[in-house]
Amino acid sequence: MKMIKALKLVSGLGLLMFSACSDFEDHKEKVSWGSANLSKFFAVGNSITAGYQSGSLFADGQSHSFAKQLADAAGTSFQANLISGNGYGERLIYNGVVANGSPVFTIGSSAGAAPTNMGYYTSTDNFNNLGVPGAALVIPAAIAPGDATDFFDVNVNSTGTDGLITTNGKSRKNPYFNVVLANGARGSNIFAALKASKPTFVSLWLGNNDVLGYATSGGTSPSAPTDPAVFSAKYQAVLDSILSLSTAPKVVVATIPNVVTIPFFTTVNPGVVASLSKNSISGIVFQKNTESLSQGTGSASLADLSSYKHMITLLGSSYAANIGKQNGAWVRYLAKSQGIPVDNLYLGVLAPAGIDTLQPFGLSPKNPWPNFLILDQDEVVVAVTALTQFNGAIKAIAGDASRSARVAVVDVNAEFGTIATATALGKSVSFQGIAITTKFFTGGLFSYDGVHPSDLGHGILANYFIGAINSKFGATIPEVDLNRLNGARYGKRVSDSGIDNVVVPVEPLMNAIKMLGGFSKEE
Amino acid sequence: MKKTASVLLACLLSIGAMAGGFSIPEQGSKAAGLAGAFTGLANDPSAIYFNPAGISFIKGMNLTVGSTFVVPEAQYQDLKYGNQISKQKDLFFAVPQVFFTYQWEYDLTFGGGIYAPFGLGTEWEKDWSGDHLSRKIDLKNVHFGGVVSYKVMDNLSVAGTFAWSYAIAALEKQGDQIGHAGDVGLEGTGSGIHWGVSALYKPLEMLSIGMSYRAATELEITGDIEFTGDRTAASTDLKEGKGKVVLPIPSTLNVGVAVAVLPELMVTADYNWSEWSKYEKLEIENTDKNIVLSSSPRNWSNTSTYRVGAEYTGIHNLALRVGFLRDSDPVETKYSEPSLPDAARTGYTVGAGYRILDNLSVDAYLLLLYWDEKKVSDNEFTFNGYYNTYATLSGVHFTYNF
Repeated sequence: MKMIKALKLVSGLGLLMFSACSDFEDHKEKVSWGSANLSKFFAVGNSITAGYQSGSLFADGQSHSFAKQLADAAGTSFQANLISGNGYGERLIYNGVVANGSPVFTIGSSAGAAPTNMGYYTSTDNFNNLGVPGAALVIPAAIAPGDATDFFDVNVNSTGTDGLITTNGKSRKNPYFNVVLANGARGSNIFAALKASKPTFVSLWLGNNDVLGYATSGGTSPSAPTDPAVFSAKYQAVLDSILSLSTAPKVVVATIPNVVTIPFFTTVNPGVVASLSKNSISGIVFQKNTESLSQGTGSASLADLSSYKHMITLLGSSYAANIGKQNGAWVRYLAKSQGIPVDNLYLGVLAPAGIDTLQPFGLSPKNPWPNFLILDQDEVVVAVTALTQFNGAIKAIAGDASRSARVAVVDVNAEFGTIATATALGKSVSFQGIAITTKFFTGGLFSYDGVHPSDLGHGILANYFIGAINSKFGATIPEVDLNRLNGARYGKRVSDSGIDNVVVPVEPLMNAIKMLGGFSKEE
Repeated sequence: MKKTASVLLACLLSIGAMAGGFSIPEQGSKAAGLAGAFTGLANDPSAIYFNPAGISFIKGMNLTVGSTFVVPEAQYQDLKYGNQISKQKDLFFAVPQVFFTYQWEYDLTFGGGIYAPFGLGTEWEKDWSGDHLSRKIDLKNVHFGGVVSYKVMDNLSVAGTFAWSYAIAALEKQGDQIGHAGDVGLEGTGSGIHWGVSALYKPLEMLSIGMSYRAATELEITGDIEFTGDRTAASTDLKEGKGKVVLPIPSTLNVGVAVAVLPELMVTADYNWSEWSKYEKLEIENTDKNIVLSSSPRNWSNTSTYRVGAEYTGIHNLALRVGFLRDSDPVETKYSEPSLPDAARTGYTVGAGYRILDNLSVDAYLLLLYWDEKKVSDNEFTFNGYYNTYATLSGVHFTYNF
């Protein structure tokens, strides 16, 4: 370095004489919030807002939530109750090994994971990140019979779990309420906490789970997305309750990205097709309805699977290798998760009666590919129809003349749609020089659970939010620098075909699905 | 061993710069003192690079030895609000030259040289804003050339050049979609064959006109692909392998005039054309697996450079030179990327020559090169921002007449 400096002087007699000329013009602009005031910014939402990724809510993910990245870019304080260790959940960790071209994951132990900042409430203020994993705008009546309360205004009980009691008398034990509300010290529900915080700015991103729970559970649990009319009414109520706070906050809301283009649904099909065609098998037989085999099975040809007419979920990755074998692994898993003998399972609603696991799995109508692990053609239509209606409602409500001056809208669905379209064509979309696709593991946008965004995905989301805020409120909040963020991290360049054989462990995915409002009945 | 050798060579012949594309026309101090407007004059052994036909008019046996030194500075600032500023690392390049001419007979002159008219070196900090596009690129391309020049008439010569070149290249960037833990790089060597034709015509005592054409070629760089960082545990089947990258060397056409306005005042002017449209893409290939690891469009355009210079020889044993150059930008903003964003440039030179002995002279120059500020807002890689570049070039060359 010294040498270079010295040579600079020697060679550049001129450098001394003309150094003033080499001072480059600075284009830095002052960060301004425009007509918005982000001094007290709070984020309301679900697992995405919370920063849940790869099957768990842990400090590093929370610190990279889009809301935190947005706040950092805007230069405003933003606190979350960070959870130590591998966090609450079942954290998927890439263990650095690529077997047969696919990455291998381990599950990080959640032992010792605990919130690190419980005292914050009593001392100063509420956490800015009020995102609760599992939050849906509207909780299906089947899950909360007799209780019309939804996540936004659900009351937590004294143990910090949510007050929704299911038919069997259990709370759903959502531990995240305790993380976010700290036993209700500053408000016993999300809305109360928000109100007590006197927000000047709020991000509201809810509604994803009103269709994702249905979709990620293969269209089973809940058995339908939220009714669009109910969704619309509830969405309007939530938004208006925020807008009518005495602090008159400005709000940014977002649409729900298309659920069937995320890697949770697009990763497993190609590998199954490759494996079946190698064995000259023409397609799979899948269970059409959970309750009974008698209500029919469907079939998916290789062409159907190739064109994603029916989508095998990432949860199915652990069972794909069993196709054609005498196998009842999924049934055993279900029984175990319920804590009941396999035989009893047939009496419940989770597995169809009359399964014969001596029949070839996924090929025989007597042992079909489970309904839980596939979003079939009809279910895809149901999910996409609901999604379209939800997004229509969000845009209409937020864009209504009575609200639009105070509400910015981020069309995440349109933005992610652009990336999904490029991906389907074998291309990518470049962000600050980084090529991004919606593919599992290699795409950069999603974390290892195939549903929740990665750090990089959250950075991209933050920039969408920043763009909407800047444009709506005349702010000049700078973009997040994406090059410092982790996307999906992998060893060598893995060929796209290799990813097809990926196996993602069941438990973290089940945890992730529950955080999307799926399989809620089980607890 | 191979590594040691290439490092040694790199130290000895460290070439590189940022220039109109990646050419470095500053191959001699006399010429550079005139801002490179030397095609029509070509009256010292560096003519082997500038206009080989010029050596027909240099008597006896002559040797020029020297070097050009390049100190670039560059900065990137993002387009939206400019909160990300990255400065290029401190870099220094020495570009050495040796030229030799020998008049065999009155009408037949031979020449030879070692020179480095193409090279490139940019290096940004690890994890800087554009790390996915480029962290480091270093190309050194040394030419070993031979010239035969023939006097067709007393005032007209024509020459042919043939050169073999050796290239060392290193590329490094953050791996695509890997997150910040991994880097991908390629280090390799290659060679190229170059040829050219040229002519020098002196229709009047005070007027000299020159033309020099060099054909296009390609440098095929082969070497090892290296991955570093968080991936050593990855399985063996995806191990790094042999890699290849092909860099085009454009054809160039230079025409120039030299006019002796007064007995002691020479004015020169040059027009240079470079076929940078040859540079369509930068592709790193894994030759073991026959797959393209990364492909990035360049789609450069051809460039024009205008140069004027003046030399005053009214002081005993001393020549004083000034020059000015202006060129065009080969890189559209759409395809600008940080390995060589480039821009149109303006250069100002001063230079001097001094006759130390009857048969020994020394020439030196200083060139201040300013790139226009480049504002990129329509970038293919969505890497929009402002690029600013500035470079100081200097050099000293000794010429000895045997």
